[in-house]
Amino acid sequence: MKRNLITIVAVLLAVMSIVLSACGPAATEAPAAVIKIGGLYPTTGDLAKLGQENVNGLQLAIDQINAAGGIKSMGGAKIEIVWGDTQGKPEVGISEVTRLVQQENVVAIIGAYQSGVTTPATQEAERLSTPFLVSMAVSDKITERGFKYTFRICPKASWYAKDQVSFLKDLKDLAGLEVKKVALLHEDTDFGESTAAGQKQYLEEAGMEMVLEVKYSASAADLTTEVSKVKAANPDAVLTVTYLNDSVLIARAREALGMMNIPFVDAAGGTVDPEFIKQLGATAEGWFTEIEFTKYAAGADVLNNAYREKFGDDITGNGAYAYQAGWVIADALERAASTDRDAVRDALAATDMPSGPNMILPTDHIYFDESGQNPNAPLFIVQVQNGELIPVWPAKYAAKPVVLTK
Amino acid sequence: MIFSYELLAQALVTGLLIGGVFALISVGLSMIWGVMKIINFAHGEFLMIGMYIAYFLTAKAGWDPYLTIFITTPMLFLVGTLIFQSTIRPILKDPSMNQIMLTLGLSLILQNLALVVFKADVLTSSTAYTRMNFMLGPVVVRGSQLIAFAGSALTAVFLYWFLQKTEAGRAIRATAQNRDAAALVGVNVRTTYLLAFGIGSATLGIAASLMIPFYYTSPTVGLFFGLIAYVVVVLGGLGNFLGALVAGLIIGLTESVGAALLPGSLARVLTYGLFVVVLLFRPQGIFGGKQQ
Amino acid sequence: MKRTWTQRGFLLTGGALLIAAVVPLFASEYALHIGVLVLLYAYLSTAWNILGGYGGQHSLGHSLFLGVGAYTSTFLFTKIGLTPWVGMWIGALLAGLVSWFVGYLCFRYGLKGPYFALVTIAIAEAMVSLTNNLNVVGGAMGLEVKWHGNAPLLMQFQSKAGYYYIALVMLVVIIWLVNWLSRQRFGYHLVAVRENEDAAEALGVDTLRTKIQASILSAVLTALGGTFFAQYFTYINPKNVFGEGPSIQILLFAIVGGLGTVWGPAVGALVLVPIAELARGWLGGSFAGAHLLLYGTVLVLVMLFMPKGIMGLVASLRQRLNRNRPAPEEERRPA
Repeated sequence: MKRNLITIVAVLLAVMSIVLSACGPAATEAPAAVIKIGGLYPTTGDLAKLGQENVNGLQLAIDQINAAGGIKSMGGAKIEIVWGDTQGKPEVGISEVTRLVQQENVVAIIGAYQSGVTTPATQEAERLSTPFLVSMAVSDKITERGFKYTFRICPKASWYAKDQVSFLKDLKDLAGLEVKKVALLHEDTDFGESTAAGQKQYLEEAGMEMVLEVKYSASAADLTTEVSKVKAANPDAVLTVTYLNDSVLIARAREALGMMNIPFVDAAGGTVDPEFIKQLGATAEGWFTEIEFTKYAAGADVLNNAYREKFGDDITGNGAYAYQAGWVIADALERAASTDRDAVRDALAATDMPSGPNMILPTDHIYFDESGQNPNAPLFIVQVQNGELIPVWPAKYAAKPVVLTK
Repeated sequence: MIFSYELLAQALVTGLLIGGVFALISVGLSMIWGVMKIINFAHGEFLMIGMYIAYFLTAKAGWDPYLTIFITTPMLFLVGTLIFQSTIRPILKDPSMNQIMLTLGLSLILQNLALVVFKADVLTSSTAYTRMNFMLGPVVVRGSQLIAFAGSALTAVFLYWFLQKTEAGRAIRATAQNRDAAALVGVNVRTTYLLAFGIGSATLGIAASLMIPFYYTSPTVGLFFGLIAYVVVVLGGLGNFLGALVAGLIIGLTESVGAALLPGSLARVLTYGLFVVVLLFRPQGIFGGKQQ
Repeated sequence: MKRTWTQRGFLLTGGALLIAAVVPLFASEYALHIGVLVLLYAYLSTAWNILGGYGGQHSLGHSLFLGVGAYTSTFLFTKIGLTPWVGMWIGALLAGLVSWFVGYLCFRYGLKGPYFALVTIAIAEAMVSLTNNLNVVGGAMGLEVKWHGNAPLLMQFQSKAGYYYIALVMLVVIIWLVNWLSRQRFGYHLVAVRENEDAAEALGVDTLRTKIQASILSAVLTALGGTFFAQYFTYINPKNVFGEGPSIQILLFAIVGGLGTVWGPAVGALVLVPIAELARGWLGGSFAGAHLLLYGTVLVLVMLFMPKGIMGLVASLRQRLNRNRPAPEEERRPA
């Protein structure tokens, strides 16, 4: 009887090895007509909605690039995005990097939204000597590991924290509110934790007192208690790090508890989702949040309208940075004039994109420093005013003054 | 360490109100367990289905959220009985592990089907009740949560009446106590199973409609509430109707007071810790009599 | 009948092993990656099967031991530079202790069936919350295994082939071990406990001791796999090692392959892992959630139509071909 079992296992193993060897790499270099780029985001799982914003932004950029004649230095070759789904899980992210590189033979990968997934995924890309352009994933350490193939155009987590604190300091001049005591309220995964670590550091440097830190699980049934805890600490301002579902619960609890006179400043979390305002209406009024892209910046409405036309929503920071990443890759491919990964890597490292129709960030130019980080990734503080995210900080981009509820 | 009596009072009130919702979500699971000794791991996903129905009726068709109860409840009854007949009935006599696995598979299917159909959007709508809050001394009471609590209590009373006073209810109780004996005295066990599963699912329809004014809907919303329901049902004693009600309140209070008093997000550890201790030392639940 | 490895069987096993061993010579890195996943999950699932399949104690929270193994070796590696080759045994020891404690508590108080399953979920979920709040092991941000290039002494390899061979050796050893144990006194006692605990007790089997032993063995082996998991994926956080995801995957393969059989978990992983990987590639971008939908559907269909798993199906097919032979003992379905 054992014999038969063994036969079956042997046959299965044999079949597996045939399948495995059939999965061999598409041995020859792809012809220049199509250049494959990996797009790696969480399109299933808890963060699928946010992942989709990235996907949309990147798709829009690639469509425009192809419509404009593709990569001219390679005979007008078109870019094709091969999508990967991380499911929001680190180990799946690694699997997908391997698949995109080995199986789909992509030239470079753009991704991957979550820090917890991007951290190991970039390591895998490094191992496979494949350029990984981080369009969005903020954990500081992603570009602090001395990697050769990792490039990031979005800000680091600590910059969000730094700008939040700078904004609190400026509130004295902007609205006559002197902030001394600050409470932190954030969700308890790597996004919240890494940003909060920066918040603590910069609050201390700014000489403000952190009176309380409240962590919660984003799947909580209710956050009234957590918000009342913040209220009991009697802070002058609250710094939050959220996803959409919990930001909705917090906003409602804040209103119910009569805390509208305490400014809440979010770190580009759930509050930047168009749904935050759409679903909460008046409850969302007065919230501050950070944003990487605003349609109020000069020339930004062109992109926003194109996005709106295609996907029906305003473009978010996630979408804008994914869009920008598409153009950065196209620019690098254009200069590399090759699908060789090392050539593309070198071209990426030499990136210097001046402001223009393809460079939509409100800054002079995009480039990468030694670590692969783009130092020019500015953030805006916006406030919900009459159902719109209005830039109020830094002063240069302020569209309207800060309004504080008394 | 922040502490004030106002905070504690707020945590108690919030915990109690949310606990009422936990209780409502759990009584159905408890009844299903009591009658056919099955843990339905897709329980949370049934709730999700109800919430989608309630959400669309409220946000898109403009219904009053509480009116949707008259749609969600029969719909969930239907969904429950259909799924029971097609997948759970055939494996009733299988080992409990197989049943757990089957319902786990169901939950994966329902969750990802929702993802395909509705996308991953977190949906919430501000209804007329959402911003209805009032103060009770220093404590804020969320009107929508109070209504949900009252609705839970009413449902519990109604279910209790149903189980005690009606023919079908007595059949359910008899089957729960002793299947074979119930069959001997003429209870149609097949129908009773179907009825119990349907009612157990229908309670989630009520819960879904009651939650819409203050909670959001998403494909993964069932994960958390499913887990809470298992904790509550075990704590109250598997199959113990009244136990589940009290245990729901206890878990609501634990989560809320834990969040108020513990640092970090450790309240959840407290909930699971309580659960493990009860399972180890009183697996019949805190209100159970003798061990089964 | 049980003990004879006939010449043909021996040749076949040897042949299969040989094929598995030469796969890295001609397979791509991605194919090897799928191979590593198959071997790793086959290994973890086989470890679970000792307690779950043979002992009939279904743990739904085996990620607890995966996580203890992964966190211990990674913590020691990142903080004091201890090689995972040593760290894995410390992790295994710790997991053994945890398992002894949990097992003693559960079995001493007679928890079984769904009660045991629920306790194991709760403990694993509590560990998620606990490590989330434990900054010394990185909190929610987890721990990253620093990449040192090709460093076999640190269990790191440039090519996937290194990982592949380690996983292959681990799988061969565990299958040999389970096969051997199932024919020892311990194995018989374990199956006796599963089939009828009271009867086993009456016959003089120390059921508490047997269950705890199986629990410890299963945990130790799972933790060793946990170290490999951390080294291979180079990153761990509370949710991806202690969460319900890995727990469910581990037992899924054993159930689909066939509970309480030597080869079941391996066959389950061999069939399901490539399907899931390929499905994500084909459908992932355009059809969100398709692969998980597939897992769920497979699970439901297996439970409805072949609850003994693939090995059970194979056994009954063979029986039909060969009616005069009785059903083999070890494929009988656990009660």
